[in-house]
Amino acid sequence: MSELPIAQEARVVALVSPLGDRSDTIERLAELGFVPGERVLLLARALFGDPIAVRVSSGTFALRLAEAACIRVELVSVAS
Amino acid sequence: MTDTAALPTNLAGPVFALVGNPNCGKTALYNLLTGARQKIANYAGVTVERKEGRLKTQTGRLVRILDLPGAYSLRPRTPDESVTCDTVLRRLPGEVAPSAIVAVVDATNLRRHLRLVLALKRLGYPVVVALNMVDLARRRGLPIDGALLSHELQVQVIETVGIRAHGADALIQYLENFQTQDGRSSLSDDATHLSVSDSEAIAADYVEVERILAACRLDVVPLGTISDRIDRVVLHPVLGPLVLISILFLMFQAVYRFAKPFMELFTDLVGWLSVTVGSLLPPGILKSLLVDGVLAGTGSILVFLPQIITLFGCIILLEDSGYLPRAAFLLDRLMGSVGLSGRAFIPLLSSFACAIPGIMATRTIPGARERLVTIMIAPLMTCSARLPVYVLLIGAFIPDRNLSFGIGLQGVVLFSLYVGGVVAAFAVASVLKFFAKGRAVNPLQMELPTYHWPSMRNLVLGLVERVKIFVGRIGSVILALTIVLWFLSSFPVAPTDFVGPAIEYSYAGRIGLALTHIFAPIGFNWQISLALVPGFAAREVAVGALGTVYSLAASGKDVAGQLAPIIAANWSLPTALSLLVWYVFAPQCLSTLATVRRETNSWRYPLLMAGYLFALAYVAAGITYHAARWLGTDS
Amino acid sequence: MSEFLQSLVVGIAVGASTVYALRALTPFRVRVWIANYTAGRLPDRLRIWLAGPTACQACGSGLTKPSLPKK
Repeated sequence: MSELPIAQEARVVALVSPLGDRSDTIERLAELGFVPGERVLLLARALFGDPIAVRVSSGTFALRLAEAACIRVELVSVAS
Repeated sequence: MTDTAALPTNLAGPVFALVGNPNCGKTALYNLLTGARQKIANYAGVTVERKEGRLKTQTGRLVRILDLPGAYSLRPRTPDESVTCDTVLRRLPGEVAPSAIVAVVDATNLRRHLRLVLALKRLGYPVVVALNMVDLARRRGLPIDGALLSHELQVQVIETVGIRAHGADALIQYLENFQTQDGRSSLSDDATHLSVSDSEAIAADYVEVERILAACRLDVVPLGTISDRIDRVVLHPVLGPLVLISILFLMFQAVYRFAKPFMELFTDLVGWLSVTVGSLLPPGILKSLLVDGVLAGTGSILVFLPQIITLFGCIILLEDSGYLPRAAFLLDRLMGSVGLSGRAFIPLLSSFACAIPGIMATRTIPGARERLVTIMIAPLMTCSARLPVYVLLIGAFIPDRNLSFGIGLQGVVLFSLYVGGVVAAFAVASVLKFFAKGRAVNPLQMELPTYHWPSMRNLVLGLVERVKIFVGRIGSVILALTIVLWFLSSFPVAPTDFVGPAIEYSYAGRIGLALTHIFAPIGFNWQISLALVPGFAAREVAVGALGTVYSLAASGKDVAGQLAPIIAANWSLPTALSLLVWYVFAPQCLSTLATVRRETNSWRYPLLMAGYLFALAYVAAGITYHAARWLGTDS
Repeated sequence: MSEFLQSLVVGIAVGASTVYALRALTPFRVRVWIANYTAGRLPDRLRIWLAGPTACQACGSGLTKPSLPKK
């Protein structure tokens, strides 16, 4: 997620915690609407790249890069 | 508690709790239902406490309404979410337990909000869904159908518009006809078990919500709305900060420019009043009390009403638009460098109105350490009570020069005083960071709400509320303190052989002169030193105190509302600058300290706070005073 | 107006203001303690006034409980 280019639509594949035990973060992300299958859109990066603003169908959220790194995404083809 | 109840204790009537995701309009509904005037705004985490209100329906039925902070789920991450969860799960012994739940959902964002509804349903409460902001959803072309949604959810759904005058009438109708099945609601026994429901439950809820949305033909949500397009500019790494700085700068220019003519009108009015009263009454102590005490004291504060209104007007517009969390987003990295996060921004911004709601708002910060640091630096944000002091001194000592492009010098000075407080706050935070051992990454996960046009109704109601509070304070605490101060400044009457101004013989004069031992090194005369004392009760009283003291000293001349020229003639510029700087840091009012005590559950932090602010204020004011003298501005 | 009457009015105003200002400056818990301590000795109306505007109107205990859970 954190490496996504701006304004490129993507789809959430899975929520993973790369840095050991961050299950709390994962849970909250799921509660906010970052669940597999959801489409996401990176709206903006702040100065120096952190944090980022992400649009999901359930709203817009500001996330830290470390948090965004927990969200695995795949690009959605522009054809749609 | 001993048997000292003096009021009827057990109020009859069912208790409805308003529960929902943050920023879905619970408090707006609460205000509509109970006629209360709780603060509402377009960002998550405005309400951080439980509030209880009563609604009397047309048939005379009494219904109690609980307003709760927003929660994303029933597993709390922050202190404000805990309040909601503990209430809903009945973990607060001795507190009113809700008998039914009004689940408030944002019709424009059902996907996330419905999940909480499902979780609430599982608890076993009677649940009714208030489908809020339906007007907005329809305007966006969403095919919202309350009846269909009700059928799919198997819960009654009522459409509401929280920000319109009659937007909750249907809900009131429902509350009137509500019957509890057995007097007490049937809360399922395993409520505590359900509260810790696992990821599987979340996943199941997710599937269920998708099914409901698909059935209501609401499952496709377009990304890239107008709000998103605004965000592309406002959150831009370069354009964003420029927009932010311009907005803040314009705000302080407005406080100065826009309010000035109104303030002059007020000043004339107070002056006229004091002349009229003075001419009607025979000379004597009663006249002195009214003219030198009441009018000079309260009048000199009342004239700042236009500035206060302008400042709050700007704040309300910003809050309502949904811009504030964006500003927090832009500043996150900057705040991260001193160990805070963007989450701390909104509590700090609230502190510009008053430090007390700001400190309360820190409940939305998940990290305990970050929350504490935010509380400690909140008083460095210039609260609105300091505005009269600033405006008075700037008006008296800073020339009203027009810099280029219609930007006034006085407005710039005001802006820089506010900036001074912010810079100091950052400095203090980084010092505190230095002391902190171990450092966890604070989560951000902050919602950026959809932009709304500020509602005119909310703006007007908000401003009326501010005027009431401001005038109410002047009419109560400030009036009382002014009268006490007048008494202290008038008695005992100086004997005829007393050398020097009579007022220096009075109690107040003696207290002031004693205090100058402490404050003379930073350039304060005894009048200022004295005025600082009632300033601890409420900061703006310092202005009123100066009004009274100089009015008495000037015996005969009417000074109410004319304080600026008097201090301009009496004080040197270094003294004035020193006082301005003092007020950037000055130890906060007692109410703030009491709030800190309550929110931190200890005396350690309020005492520490008062101590460090006093030291900081003293040193900074001293440096300013001596630097200004050394530079030869003392003419 | 006679000098005595003037002094009387001023005296009442100063007295009332002093009590009011003192109440405003007294911490809430102290005020509640006073209100509870004076039960039966002072009129109830006065005690409620002393406890102040933040006294809990709903439960009548004179105490608003902070809704924040203790750490």
